Amino acid sequence: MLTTANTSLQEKQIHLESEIAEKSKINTALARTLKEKEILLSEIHHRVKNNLAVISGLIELQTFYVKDEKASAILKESRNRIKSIAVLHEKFYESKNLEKIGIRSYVDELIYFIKLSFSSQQKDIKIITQIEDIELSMANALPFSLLLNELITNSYKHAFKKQDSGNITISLIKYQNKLVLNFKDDGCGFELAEINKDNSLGMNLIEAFSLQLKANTNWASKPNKGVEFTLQFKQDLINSKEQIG
Amino acid sequence: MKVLIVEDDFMLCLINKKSIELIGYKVVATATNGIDAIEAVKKHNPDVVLMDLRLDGELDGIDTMHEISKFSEVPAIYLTGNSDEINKERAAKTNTLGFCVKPVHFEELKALFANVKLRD
Repeated sequence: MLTTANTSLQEKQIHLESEIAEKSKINTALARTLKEKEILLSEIHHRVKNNLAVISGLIELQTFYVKDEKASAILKESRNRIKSIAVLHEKFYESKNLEKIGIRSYVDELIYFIKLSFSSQQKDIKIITQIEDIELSMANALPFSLLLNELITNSYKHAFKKQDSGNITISLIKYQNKLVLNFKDDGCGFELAEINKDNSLGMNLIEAFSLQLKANTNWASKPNKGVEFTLQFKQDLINSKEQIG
Repeated sequence: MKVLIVEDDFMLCLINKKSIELIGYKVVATATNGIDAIEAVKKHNPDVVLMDLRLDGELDGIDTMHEISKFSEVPAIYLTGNSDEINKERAAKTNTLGFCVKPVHFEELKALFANVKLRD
């Protein structure tokens, strides 16, 4: 009887050892696959960044050969939109989980390169920000960043034409379950009724990105009274801290 | 001012070269990997290296700058697509004027080049 039990135990031990060896193999294969995927992701990221850089670079080179100032400005705006996307892509890659980014450092970089791109205007434009440490998902971050790019660019292009200096104030706060962007400049302002959206790509894009964010928007402006734009949209809860916590 | 471009993407290298020349600087050489970059610094003694972080071969941009710093004080402006904290800390230990996120605009380069001290 003891011999039978011993044989049975030995068989079970062999079976268990075989199972452990099999699981170990699977784990090794999984680890290898995971590593390969990480390398692949890094490679794709590298390619995407370089391709965006090539597109932006070709547009930038074109600006050197364009004599018409208006055409040159249009090319620079296109280049800046690509950079907005590229920096966002960079931030997502930095964030490691690839789902959300802290918007504050992104806005700082966005402002930095837009400011530089208008440095030839030689005007003293101050940009004051109050951005809460808010995380956005990719679905929200892309339209938000492009929208902010358009707002800042519009102010640089139109608000301070007759001024040597001016202020832009940007705040982003969380209020209940909504994010509220408030954008102001103290430039020349405009009569809202006279804005022809059909003739303004910037205004069209702001409207389109607001729609994409399912946001409520409000414009306030009068000639010589500056511009104020408010945007309210729901934070994407799927990827927010609240959901994870 | 003499600039060395180190970039593993051929097309991007060409574009950056042209762009830098159009804003008035001289590109003395280009390289796609660390070994060639080290040789180019020895040969051309540039005032600044525009260095991609990721390169062909075993040395990345930061490793390459560590090797270069053994015989030259030339500073690097890092062009990057992955400027995470680890790389930023590694880069801070080299002679660097800063990071530029790709795609780099000529206004950004001009601002960074303004900090370059001309060498012989």
